[in-house]
Amino acid sequence: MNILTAKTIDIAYNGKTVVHNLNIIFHKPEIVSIIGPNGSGKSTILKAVGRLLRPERGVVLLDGKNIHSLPAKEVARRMAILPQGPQVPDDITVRDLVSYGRSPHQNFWNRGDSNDKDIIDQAIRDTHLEELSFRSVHTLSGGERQRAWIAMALTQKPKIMLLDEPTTFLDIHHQIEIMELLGRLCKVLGLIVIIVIHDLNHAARYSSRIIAVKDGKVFKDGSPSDVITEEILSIVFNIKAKIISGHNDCGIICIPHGVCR
Amino acid sequence: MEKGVTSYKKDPRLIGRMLIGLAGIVLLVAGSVWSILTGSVDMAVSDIMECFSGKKEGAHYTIIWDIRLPRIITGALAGINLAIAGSILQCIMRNPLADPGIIGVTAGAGLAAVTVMILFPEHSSIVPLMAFVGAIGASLLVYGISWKGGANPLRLILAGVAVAAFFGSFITLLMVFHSDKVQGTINWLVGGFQGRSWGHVKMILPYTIIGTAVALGSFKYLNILMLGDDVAKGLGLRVESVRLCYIALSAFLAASAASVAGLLGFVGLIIPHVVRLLVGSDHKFLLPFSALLGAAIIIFADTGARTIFNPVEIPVGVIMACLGAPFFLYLLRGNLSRRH
Repeated sequence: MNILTAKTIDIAYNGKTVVHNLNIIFHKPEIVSIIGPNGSGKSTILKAVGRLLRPERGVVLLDGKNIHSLPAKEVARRMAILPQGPQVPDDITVRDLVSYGRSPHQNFWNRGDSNDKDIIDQAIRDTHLEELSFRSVHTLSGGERQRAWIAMALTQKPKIMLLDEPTTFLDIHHQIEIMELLGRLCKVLGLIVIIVIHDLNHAARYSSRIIAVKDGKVFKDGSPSDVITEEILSIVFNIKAKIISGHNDCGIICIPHGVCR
Repeated sequence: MEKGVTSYKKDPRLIGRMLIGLAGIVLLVAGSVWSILTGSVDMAVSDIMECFSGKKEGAHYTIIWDIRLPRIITGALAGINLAIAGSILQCIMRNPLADPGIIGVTAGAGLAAVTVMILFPEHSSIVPLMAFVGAIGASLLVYGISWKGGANPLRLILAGVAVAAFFGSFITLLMVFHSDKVQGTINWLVGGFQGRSWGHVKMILPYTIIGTAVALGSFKYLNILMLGDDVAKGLGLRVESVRLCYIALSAFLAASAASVAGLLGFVGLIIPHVVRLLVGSDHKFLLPFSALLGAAIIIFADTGARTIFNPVEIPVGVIMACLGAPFFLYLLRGNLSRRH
């Protein structure tokens, strides 16, 4: 079982409480998108359930155990988190970066063995980075770099993967490539993938559950067709949008056409 | 990028790294031999052979065994300590200007040593000990000031700069009010190895052995810290504790170097950069190669310092900066033009 639960948590960021009394549960392999306007607290929520922030009140439970009482490495073996736009040193190669994902499985004395090597090779294949293994991450395109980070997260062998805006700053081809990669990983490896994302159409197309966040609270949590509605978008994002559904297997499409006044 | 199935199986940088490692070892050995051979009394290689083959008498034996050898080893150990401390600090502070001065080591050692030398000149034998204590004390102060539920690199750096300026003002004050006694302190403040003995080797050796072993053994934590605090935490690293351990480690390495060598600049700041330009920022290679090059460069510079203007000895730091800085700029220019 891999269940991640946030129970009545308050999260403060820079001394200000930005999330109040939040309850969320993630319990099955699917892509969950967290959407919401800037400053709504969606990244903060991701960081709190990903153990990067300690809630002021309440607990985050991983299979019933507080993630802050579990050893950091044990959490890292079950849950990977990629922050937004992480930095890499100029000359680190793709393979170096991917191999760092094994560190929660190693200790001071154990430096990785052939098993680690196989896992690294597999992650590189899963993300189609074979030809780029020894290129420095610095020289990759945005999409390739994002794939390298995802490969690193994969070598942690997690059951839950959290990503903060994995497609921001990518062109449309690479955005879709990353979303399809995440969809494939979710299905093949049975991962719970939780992403913070801005693009509503990608959220609707690639996730089976969407959480709309407003002012540090979950405004609506449900399937894309439950959440991406004209009414909810007008309240959460303050925009006017037209929703088209059932179009060529694309699920629902949202066309924003103005802000509410 | 070369194509082919095997192209991703082997790291293409491996051979280059091995060659650079080999060059470092050759440089270290050559520097040591040159340093034993030259000086106010010149030696022949046969004298070294005799000295090491068990003939324990004669002026040459005394010069090699009691004067030159301990001086070389003290220099090498100080070079190793400073280079490793600098590499670690540049990584954990995420700042290319970080060196052992940034955590207060230099200012603390300087103030403690100058205080003893000027106010208690009759106790000059405790200068190394006091320098060590001052260095550790100052770095504790810097860490304490910057602690606020965690010690982030920026606060550490700012606290370090402030503490260094504060301590520096007292050094200046002492020197102004006791300008007659300043001469002796100058040599210590610029660093050097004149008259270093086996006692100094014994003083620094334990720190070098333990510090180097811990640093080289834990390189992967440094690699992970380079990815930023959030990624490192996500990989299960206890970032605050690890950073504190590394600051303590660098403080001990740099403090023990300061206690035997005085305030030697350059090595802790420039050597890690030179090595990074040569072998990259993977600490698996950066740390041992920095140690190697740090030791070699000090041996060469110190030998030059005592022989070039013989019998006048010039500060070793002057030689290192004079020759090292242009070489560093040359590497940097080459690297910049390749990248842009």
